[in-house]
Amino acid sequence: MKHFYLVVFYCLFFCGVAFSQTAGKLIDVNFQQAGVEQVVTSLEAKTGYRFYYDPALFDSLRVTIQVSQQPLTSVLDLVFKNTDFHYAITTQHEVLLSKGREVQTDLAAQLFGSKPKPRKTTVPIKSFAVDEKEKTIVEATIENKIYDIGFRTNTGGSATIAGYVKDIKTGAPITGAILYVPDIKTGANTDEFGFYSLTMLKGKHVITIRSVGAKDTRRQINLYSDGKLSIDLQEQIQTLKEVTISADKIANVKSTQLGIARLDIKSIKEIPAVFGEADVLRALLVIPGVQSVGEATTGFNVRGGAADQNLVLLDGLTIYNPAHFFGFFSAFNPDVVKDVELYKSTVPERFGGRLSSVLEVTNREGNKKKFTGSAGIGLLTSRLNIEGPLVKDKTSFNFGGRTTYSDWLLKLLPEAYKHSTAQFYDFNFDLSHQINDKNSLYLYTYLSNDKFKLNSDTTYNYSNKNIALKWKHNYNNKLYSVITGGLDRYQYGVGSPGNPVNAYQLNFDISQTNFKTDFTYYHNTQHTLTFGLSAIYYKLHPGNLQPDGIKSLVLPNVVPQQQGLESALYLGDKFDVNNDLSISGGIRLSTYSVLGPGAFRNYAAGLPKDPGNVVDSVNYKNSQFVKTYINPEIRLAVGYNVGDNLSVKAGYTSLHQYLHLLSNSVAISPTDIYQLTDNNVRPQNSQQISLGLYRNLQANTIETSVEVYYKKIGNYLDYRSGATLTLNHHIETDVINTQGKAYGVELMVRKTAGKLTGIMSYTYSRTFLKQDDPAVLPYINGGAYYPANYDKPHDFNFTGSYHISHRYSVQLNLVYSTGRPITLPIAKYIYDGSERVYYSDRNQYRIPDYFRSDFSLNILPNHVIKKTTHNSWTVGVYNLTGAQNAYSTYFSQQGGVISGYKLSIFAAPIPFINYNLTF
Amino acid sequence: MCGREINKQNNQKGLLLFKSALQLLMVAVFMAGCKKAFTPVVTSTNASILVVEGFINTGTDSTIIRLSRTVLVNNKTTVNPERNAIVTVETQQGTVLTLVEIAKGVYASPPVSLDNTKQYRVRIKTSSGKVYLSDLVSAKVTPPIDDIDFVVKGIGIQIYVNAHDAANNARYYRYTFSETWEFVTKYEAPYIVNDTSVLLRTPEQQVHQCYGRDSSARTILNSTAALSQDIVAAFPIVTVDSTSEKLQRKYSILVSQQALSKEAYVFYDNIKKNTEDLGNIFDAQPSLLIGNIHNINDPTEAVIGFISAGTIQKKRIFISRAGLPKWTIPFPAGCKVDTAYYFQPHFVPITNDFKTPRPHTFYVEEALIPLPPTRAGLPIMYFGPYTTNDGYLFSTPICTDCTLRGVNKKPAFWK
Repeated sequence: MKHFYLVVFYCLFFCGVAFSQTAGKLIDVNFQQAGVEQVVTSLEAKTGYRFYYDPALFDSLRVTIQVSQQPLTSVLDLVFKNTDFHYAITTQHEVLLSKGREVQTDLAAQLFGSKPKPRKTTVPIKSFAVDEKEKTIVEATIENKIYDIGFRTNTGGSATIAGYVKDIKTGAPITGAILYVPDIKTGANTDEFGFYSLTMLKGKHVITIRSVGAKDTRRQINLYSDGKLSIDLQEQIQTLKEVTISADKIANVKSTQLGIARLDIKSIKEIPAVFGEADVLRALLVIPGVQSVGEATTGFNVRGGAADQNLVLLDGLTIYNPAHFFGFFSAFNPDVVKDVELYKSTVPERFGGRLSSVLEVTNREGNKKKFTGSAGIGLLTSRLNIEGPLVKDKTSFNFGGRTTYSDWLLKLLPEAYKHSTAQFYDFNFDLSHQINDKNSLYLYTYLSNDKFKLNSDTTYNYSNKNIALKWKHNYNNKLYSVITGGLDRYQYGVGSPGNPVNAYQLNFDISQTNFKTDFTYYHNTQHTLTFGLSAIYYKLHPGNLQPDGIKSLVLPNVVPQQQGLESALYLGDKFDVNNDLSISGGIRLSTYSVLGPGAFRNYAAGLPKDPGNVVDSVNYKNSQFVKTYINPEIRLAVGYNVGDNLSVKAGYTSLHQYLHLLSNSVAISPTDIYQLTDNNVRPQNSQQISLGLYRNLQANTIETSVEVYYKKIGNYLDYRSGATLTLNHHIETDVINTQGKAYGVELMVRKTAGKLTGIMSYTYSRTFLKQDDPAVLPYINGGAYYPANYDKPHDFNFTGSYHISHRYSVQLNLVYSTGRPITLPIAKYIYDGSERVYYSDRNQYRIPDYFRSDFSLNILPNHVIKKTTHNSWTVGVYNLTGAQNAYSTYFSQQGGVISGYKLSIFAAPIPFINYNLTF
Repeated sequence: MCGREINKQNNQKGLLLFKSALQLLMVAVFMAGCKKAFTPVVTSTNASILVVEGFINTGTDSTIIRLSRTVLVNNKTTVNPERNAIVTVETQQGTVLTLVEIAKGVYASPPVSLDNTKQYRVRIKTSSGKVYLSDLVSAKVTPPIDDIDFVVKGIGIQIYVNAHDAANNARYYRYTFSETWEFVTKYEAPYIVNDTSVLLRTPEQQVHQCYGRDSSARTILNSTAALSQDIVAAFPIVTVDSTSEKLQRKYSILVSQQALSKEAYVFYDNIKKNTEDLGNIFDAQPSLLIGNIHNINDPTEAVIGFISAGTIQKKRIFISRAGLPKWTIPFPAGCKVDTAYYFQPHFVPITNDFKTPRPHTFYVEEALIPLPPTRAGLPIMYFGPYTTNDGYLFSTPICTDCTLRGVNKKPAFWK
């Protein structure tokens, strides 16, 4: 009421005194885009009048006038021309500035929305608003304030408002926040930079902002022309009894994208992991449609795709081997990771190069406000994370490191294992720097290294090295670009220095140089365009065997370097036809050029690619184009809302892959080599159609979905029997192109709020491959479809967390799946002078079904905010029932008799404990 | 006790890296891993698939077809001949040859020439009454081998062939070979022990000089399909190691060359590339064999084998020691000569207890030389009498008896 009276008082005052006097003194002014402060200061100096105004109300005012020898009233008339600012000059030589709308309509709005106050001093005190904030609730004040956006120059039409949504505490951008304008039923999501852009009719609007883990808030704006509005969100304090309405859940129903799963680090940490340390990649297995060939591998199969058909990106860095120690640990530091997002169906047109999925692992942006950190200690690994501002609110860094110290455990082992060693580490170092409103720079680096020795003198090591620099530039509210350049490298080496005569060193490496530009253009509320181009230059050394030491008799064997250039041009449009129907469509022109140098063989058409069938061999010079593949790709997704809580979505995606992992074994091994597409090894391709039904229940706290898909895969590489993959100078003689099809239905129920949270999913899926290339006879299984190695029809996952109190929560994890297919020898015989084995049709048998249950207890820190450090503990048991699941089965000859064996790796309940410290 | 078994398994050689890593982790971290017997249902039923090997020889030689059946993988023996079948060679018009079983599962025809312009197939009626028929195949005439020669390569010799088909028809070649070599044992044992006495060997009983034999165990294929002319140029057949007894005195190789149809070539190529790894899942995926023989009543029944028709060309060469570098060819290791006392040549089990006087015993003074119970060392030479007992030097059978690895009768072709 107090404000009301004040406003009324001033209104009366204006009405009474406005224009009642004119200042007689003539002045000269020259303002160029001057703010209110500059105008007032200048006028006060020139006239001696005192100005009273609320600076917050005038923050959008920019004045450009040039006059000479005019009275103050004329100057002020010009300054406020075409705006709804008003001025009044009192007899005491005081100038009162106020804001109002068109007089005839908007007086009331002005009464409630603006709070000009008389000021005893002419210098506007910046802390004025802050004082107010401290007295009242912050959000209330901000939420009630009406922001004027843009300059009051134009009338009518639409304007665009854009800006960043950030965490108020750390300054980190908030991805996937939903901004919604109820009166015009328009919304937008923030991108990975926290950036949004909204185009709407000029005038007064309310924007609601929702995001996971943040308090819902709103902003009132008065849109005059294009302008900026950055929004800080407050962390949501978890109140267990309250129903949280999460943006993500609405997104689930409302967005057009389907087959997308996002897990934030909080949910990942609630999934019991075998070593107690949250495993970013293995957590993906709770998502329907994601499978793995075994529990000791981080390789994953998405909707019937092979493990090398996933593009694993860590903030845009391509991680070739996201695993430590053969896949027992994933190579991502859970203390640095913010969330992971998996595209298993419609892959946005800005991505390409892999057939199955894109996994985006996003690290947290360093805290821009203060230094924080955390440390964790587990049985085998320890982690450290430090982050903080270098320049407050502008530049921040985030550092994470992880290492293992398992050697102490190895030393306790029986003699046969005692001399093994295993070491690995990984480091992340990210920088983010905001140059100004329009430009931001980001630097991402990653380094991982593994080295181990398995009780022999042979040492293995492998390493990922990645760096990328990203520059984001906003041209205006509607258009921005992200330009990225980077280097990614993966290498491994095997060395055996023990016997000087046989000592050797075998090396492999692949490196890619990337350049990428991505543009996003918010055309209007209906259309958001994305376009850009990318180029990846690959350099691959498929194998280099060298003698180690002068006594070594090993003959050097170097497989020639391979080079290639993968480039793409894309254009996409997200078109909201109306409030209920939206279409995302895009086209990506994907090309790949095989580059020299080298001798490229041509084989006789229609014959097996055997050395005997070489027609000729053509020599190409360095960087000479040998062959170029051009493949247009289509990405399409349509979403339709049936009522508020139900939506139907459909999608179509086609993809090509030019990089092949040569892996003859079921699980990915770090010593697998890559092969680039060349004139004989063709690019892989896939097409997927999918349909989904999404329904949210219980005020969006429970989301359910059903998705079905059908996928076709072409030119997937399989291998001839007895294929040699290492140091093979002509790999095309050992590979076969196969075709695949995969289909499935995925059911999921997810609850993200309340005492009980979790995901329950069931997938029925089949994946079949077939080889009927007439040039390679005989066909596998007679040219009929056979199950792929990772075809596990029934797959059930439950991971649930029950929050007993703020500090204690228990987790239970249940996994059941059908056993993986295998091929077994079923008979032996003698032919052409030797004993031969007769196999069953490929993959006609299965290893036993898989079942596992895990349990863990999380003890979170107490919530005393003043404490400098917080401790948390995780204790639990992996494989609670001690189920002896088969990891693999194999046959070996002992005493002249061939017998089958089943190998289980985690065949007993395995307790774990993990300690975390945040500061 | 899973942990102990894993230790045992670690002692196996040749474990793949990945498996080692798994085991290490199993043992290292948890002692919780486990290796257990896995007997999939599949291995207990014998598929007993018919295996047909051979080809229709339209030349002057016999047509030989071998029939057998597959056995379970865990069987101790692989030999499982299919006996008492009726095997005939026919054209589309009717039977032209009837084969008779000359050995267990080996069916042969008399040497008859067939018309090379016709198509042939094999009909097999098993004793159980099932009838199998191979696809009709054209006879493929094999061009002669131009020559066989060898080069000294590293520490051995490589034998290669040259051939050509002026008509450019043969294109796909399969080779088999049979090696014969003359060799001697390190020690000549001129005596033979029978139950009652030590006698000089007759020439027929000599065991010093023998002829060893071996045949190809690899599938050897060559294709000239991508060449402008059908020329087999210096195609390597086999490499003989310089340390092999084969090169001790004289070596001979008989190379058989057979022109194949493309389909037959692909079949053998597949057999060749199919490794004999036994289903270890870390190994390459095996592929199935598809032949050209079918059960006439059940086309889905698996039958292993590919029957082709045509002629075979053979050529033999001899390689003498004199034509080779001065390699030292070692005799089988561990050839020692020792003394043996002879008193009465009744065979009596020998013990290590030499302190007990043993009259009437043929025993060995040196206990370090093992004597197989059924095949005593052969006396090499008489060196007595200088004591009251007659005595002989002797060595182990492998150093004295060439018939262990060959035959003492000179083959008819040997020159």
